[in-house]
Amino acid sequence: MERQRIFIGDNLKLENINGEACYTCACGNILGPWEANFKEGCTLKESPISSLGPGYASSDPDMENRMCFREFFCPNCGVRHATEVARIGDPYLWDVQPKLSSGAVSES
Amino acid sequence: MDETANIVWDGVARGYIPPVNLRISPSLKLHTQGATDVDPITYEVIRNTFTSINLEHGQTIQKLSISPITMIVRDFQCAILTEQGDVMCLGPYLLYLGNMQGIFTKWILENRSGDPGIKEGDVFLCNDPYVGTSHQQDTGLTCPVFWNGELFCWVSNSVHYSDVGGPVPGSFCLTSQNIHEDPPCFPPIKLVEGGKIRTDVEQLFLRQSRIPQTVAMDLHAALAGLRVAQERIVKLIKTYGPDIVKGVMNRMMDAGERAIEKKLELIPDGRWSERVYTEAAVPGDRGIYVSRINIVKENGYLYIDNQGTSPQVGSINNTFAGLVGACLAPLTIMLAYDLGGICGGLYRRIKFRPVPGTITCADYPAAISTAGVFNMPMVVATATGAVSKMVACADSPLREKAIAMADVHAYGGCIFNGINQYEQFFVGMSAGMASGALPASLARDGVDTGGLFWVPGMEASNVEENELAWPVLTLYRRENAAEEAGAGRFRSGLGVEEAWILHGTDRMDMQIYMNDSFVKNQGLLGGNSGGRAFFKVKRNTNARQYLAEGKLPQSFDELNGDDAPIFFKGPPVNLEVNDIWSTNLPNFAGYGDPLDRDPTLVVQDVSQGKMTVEAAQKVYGVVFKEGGLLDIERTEACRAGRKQQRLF
Ligand SMILES: [Zn+2]
Repeated sequence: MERQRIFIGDNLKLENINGEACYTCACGNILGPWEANFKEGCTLKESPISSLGPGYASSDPDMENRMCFREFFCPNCGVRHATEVARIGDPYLWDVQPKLSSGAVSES
Repeated sequence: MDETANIVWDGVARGYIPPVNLRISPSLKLHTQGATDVDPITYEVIRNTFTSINLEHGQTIQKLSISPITMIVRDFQCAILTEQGDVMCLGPYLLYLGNMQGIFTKWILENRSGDPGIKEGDVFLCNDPYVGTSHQQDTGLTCPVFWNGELFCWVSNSVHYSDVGGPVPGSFCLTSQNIHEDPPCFPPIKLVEGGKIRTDVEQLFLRQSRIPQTVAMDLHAALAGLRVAQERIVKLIKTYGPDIVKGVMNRMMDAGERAIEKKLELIPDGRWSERVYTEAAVPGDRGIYVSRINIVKENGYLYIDNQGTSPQVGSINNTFAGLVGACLAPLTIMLAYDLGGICGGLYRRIKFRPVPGTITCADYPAAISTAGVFNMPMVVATATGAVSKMVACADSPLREKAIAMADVHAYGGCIFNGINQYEQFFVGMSAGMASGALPASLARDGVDTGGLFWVPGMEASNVEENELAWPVLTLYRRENAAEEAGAGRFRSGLGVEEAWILHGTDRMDMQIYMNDSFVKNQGLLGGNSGGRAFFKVKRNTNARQYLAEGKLPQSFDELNGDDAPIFFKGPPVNLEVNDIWSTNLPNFAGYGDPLDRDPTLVVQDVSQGKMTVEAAQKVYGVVFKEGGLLDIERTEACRAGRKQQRLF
């Protein structure tokens, strides 16, 4: 099946822009090329998990302080494309890499 | 140089991976002849009969067992397998137990067909996780079905037995550093020979347990299930002839595979991953560990690995069979939801490339017994994250089937023991996850207390059933609030909290409880993660005074007493007569940006008392006028302002 556009989330898609596969936001902003993690093109906010509200409060703050909540926003319109509960210092998870047409899938 | 590279996947040193061509003793004759010209009506009749035979197998187990975990919660699975041990039909029970039955049955074909032989009237028992179970408590039984001296197919089940020995009541050994500190493992052994139970083997198995009578009843329920299924398949063969029935089985597998192929065509090629964190390899350990699942879709196949997962450690491990079962659970729900449990075709399209020596694919002698409450749901959750992101990239209508992550350590309840109101030693398992919550999907909100999606047939016990079975009273059982945990454009269903007090005894030991130090769930594509699972205890309360006055305490805060410090994985908690405790199954994952949620859905939650006006504004940017009406203009302004603030 020939794919020229793949919807990922509500506002996130992969599409052909001038012959190059790019991640784009619904606002039109280009978040980066297919070969890279779209999160690299987002604005990142990293906060303590429990700052989100009482549903996340910890009974062991020393453990919780080693973790964080990451939000990845479109730098143009501010919509939130992704979130992560992550250990502080761990790289962003590269978790979504669909492809538009034939070619090797990255094994990295 | 990797020193473990030469270890073989034989079910002894490392989890068993069945080869494509099984090495079966020529002394065992297999029935392989299947008709290719079965008419469509006969095909449908036989196909549906297989499904109903498997359901009857499950219902027999459920009706005859006496442990609430089996009888009510349905923590078991049953299957019909081909003569080669490939799973064909799966029941609507614990999905991750399905394919394991294929794995240990194939091991039996390879390792038992010559000596002692596989014969009519045999039933093999296996609880060895390296051969193919999720943990020792999920003991498997598999029964060859013969026709005219040829092995025609298999029927099998896996049931959670409440105590199979080892150092701790309930057999979840948190402190085990290796399998020798776990309950015993039995590689496949004949429990039934020539249609007769071997009392020596039965006694060997029951002798390990603290509650042998209970385990014996459940074991006999599992045997009865096999008997029903085996007899009905023989009757089916007598009615239609072996070649017609086998022809239908072959076609069921092929048709299932074609249906999955069609679904896979809707998914672009690509690569998807999920990462979930866990903690405490043994009590007192402050370590944080990673479970990772990666999926590559290419040329109509899915290739799954666990690269990036932490090395095996302490008691937080599962074997290859657990990894496979856990990955197949969300794949079954998101890709095979319309196959009526005939999942064999799905399994043909998935190839595993496991990384051994890891917490999710451990080598012998890693400890495995706690996997049922820690690793198995954790790997299901990790796989769910990866599968849901893959399915989100599919074309409609498959795309809308993507469902977010459920709980990572899905117990939500607790495992405890003591002397009950009947003055008997008992082991209780409260499956708090059974009331569950369906996470958000791409198309809609999850379902409040909607069960656990990877155990479709699971049912929560009634409070009265718990109070009859165990020396407890339930003070309250209620839904969580719809606030930040699990928020999103579509929100998670709501989980549940339950509070208890002792009744008819003055002491009980809580062995397993879920009190996460931090949230472990991951939100889907912009959604909030689920909430934190907690377990809390208040000691020396005046709750009994309330009860004596005819009042039911409805919160911890209204009672006097001392909050007990509870860690994620502490020593057993001794509960005494004036203590109260509560278990919480949190809301699961949300999908999409909460600021994009339809405000009328937020209004609905507020009007139903599921959310406060303050939370509606804080979490969703929804503003109300005086009198409780939605203020659309201020909502839009609030949301636009919040999105702007995110950029600085
Ligand atoms: Zn944007």
